[in-house]
Amino acid sequence: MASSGSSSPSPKRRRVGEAPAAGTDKLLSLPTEILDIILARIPFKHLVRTCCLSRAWRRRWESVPFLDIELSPGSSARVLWRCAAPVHGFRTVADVRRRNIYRAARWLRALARKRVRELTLQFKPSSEISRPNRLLGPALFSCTALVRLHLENCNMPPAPQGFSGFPKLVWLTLDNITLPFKGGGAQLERLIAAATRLAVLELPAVFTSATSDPGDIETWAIRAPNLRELFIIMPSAEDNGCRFAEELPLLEKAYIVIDCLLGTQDFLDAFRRIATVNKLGFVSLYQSNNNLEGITWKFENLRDAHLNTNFGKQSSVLSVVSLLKFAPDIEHLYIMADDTEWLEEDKIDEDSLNTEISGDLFARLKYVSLIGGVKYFSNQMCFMKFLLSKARSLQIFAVTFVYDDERKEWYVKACRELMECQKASPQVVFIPKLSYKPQQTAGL
Amino acid sequence: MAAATDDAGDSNEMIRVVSSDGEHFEMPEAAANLSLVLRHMIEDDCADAAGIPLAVVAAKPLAKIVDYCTKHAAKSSGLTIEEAEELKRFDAEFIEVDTDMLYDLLVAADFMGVEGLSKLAVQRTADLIKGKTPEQNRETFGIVNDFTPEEEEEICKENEWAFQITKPPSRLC
Repeated sequence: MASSGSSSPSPKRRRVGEAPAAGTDKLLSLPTEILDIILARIPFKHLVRTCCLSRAWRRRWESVPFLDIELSPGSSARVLWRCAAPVHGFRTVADVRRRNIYRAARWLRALARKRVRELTLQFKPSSEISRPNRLLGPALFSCTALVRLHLENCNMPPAPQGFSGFPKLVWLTLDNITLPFKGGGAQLERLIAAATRLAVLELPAVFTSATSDPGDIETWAIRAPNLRELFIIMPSAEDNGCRFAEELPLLEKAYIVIDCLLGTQDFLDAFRRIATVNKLGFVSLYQSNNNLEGITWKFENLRDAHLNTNFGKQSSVLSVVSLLKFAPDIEHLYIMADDTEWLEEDKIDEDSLNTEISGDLFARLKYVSLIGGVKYFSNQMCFMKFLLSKARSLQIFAVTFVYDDERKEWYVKACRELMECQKASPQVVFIPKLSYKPQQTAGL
Repeated sequence: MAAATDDAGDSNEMIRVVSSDGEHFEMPEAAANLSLVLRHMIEDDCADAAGIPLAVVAAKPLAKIVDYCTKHAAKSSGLTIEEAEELKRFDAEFIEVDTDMLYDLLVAADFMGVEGLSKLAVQRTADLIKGKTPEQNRETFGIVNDFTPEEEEEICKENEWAFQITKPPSRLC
């Protein structure tokens, strides 16, 4: 009675309100479909424990479809082979040890057969160079029913010949993933292009052979006509070859760090392809130049922008101006002030701002938030007062000041000055916050 | 006997339903609409003064379901945070029932197509199972252990990992 779902007697016929008589199993008396839904909601480990309830329960768990499985390190791949297909989700308990990669190869073989839809494999990051991340088993490429794939801290093997991608993939996250072979970038390009429904692409740390050999960069392109969200980080020395060669017409959110492309046509191309977004995060560690100066086309939909700024550099402050020029309808602006012990290399004062910035630029801002390394520096204060004197629709002005020692009398002064300064918007609410951040350079 | 009607939704029409054991209930149309089956009957003009007969749902669970639907229909759209929390509290209390009633609600909500109630009853049952030792589960759900002690030991061994790492170490099976 227990092993197969469909052949159980038909308790459906029983009248509701006449619950099973005493001594009969109330769960197994339920219609199979309802019991399956219940059992699929029990954490995998607890579900397997039902095997010892009675003979009828011994193999009951094996016939439950759409399980979300979280495997603990001690479990073997054998239980996966016993699960009914399709398996809905599989995730490793966070930080699986690296040696479990061999076990993972067996999991993947089983999961491919079970047509797994959502797969999350997170390994422990390797801390020593002598122990690099391990290669994932090739059965990954047989999991063709995948809708969601999230890999962390491992290497992706070359796809077998004839691999036609994960056609149903909607969500792809590759975090600290290396493709340590020639053509790794091209493989990523094919993988992304084959997933025609891909909506979310997160590449916070992907390395190809291009990263290790900057002299020979194989470039590859993101082709994803249905992409809604893009998250990509390529610091200056870590170009993995990713380029923005095609339109991303449906893109709504982008968070990009592409310092490795600064000053190139590829940088401008990236901004051209993401011009449809309504939310943008852009962070750069290099601010000697105004990185956004060359952008001449409009971001019509952009309402919400995050940007980092070094207030010691006039060019960096002017990148805020460039942003507001190409995205005139921004309502929410978050500025992360770089938390470095910079000298105020360039002096910023009201006159210099007045000559560089047309006050109208700030006209639509409703919510401005400054976070990160805001202190009582004159450049920062000058910029904030200038903004307050121009932003006539502003509703909320939130500033998080940081201090790294007990001498923070300046905080009261800064608040008073910002309270009392001239404001273009009559309804603006000023919300100061104070957070403690110890100095990182202190030799403890 | 049916639920309160004062806080009904925007439809004033009352819908009558009849349980398998012949008891009559009334609820606002908005409440009846939460049941897929009742909604289709109403759309097909099958709701009349005699009431819609529900041939497989007895009075006891039906009273609960009418309660559930009436409460949820009155609070269906544009919930404030407080109202959403109140509804959550209502659900939590509502589903504190014995296993016989839980069984009836599972089957009746599925039959009548009341999605929210189905989910609530399914989650409640899953929570009951997962929080218990095998012996407690047998007791709660009327499961008779028909294993010999040797068999039981063997089966536990077969899936040893599933019984491990419970802290503090409790009895296995």
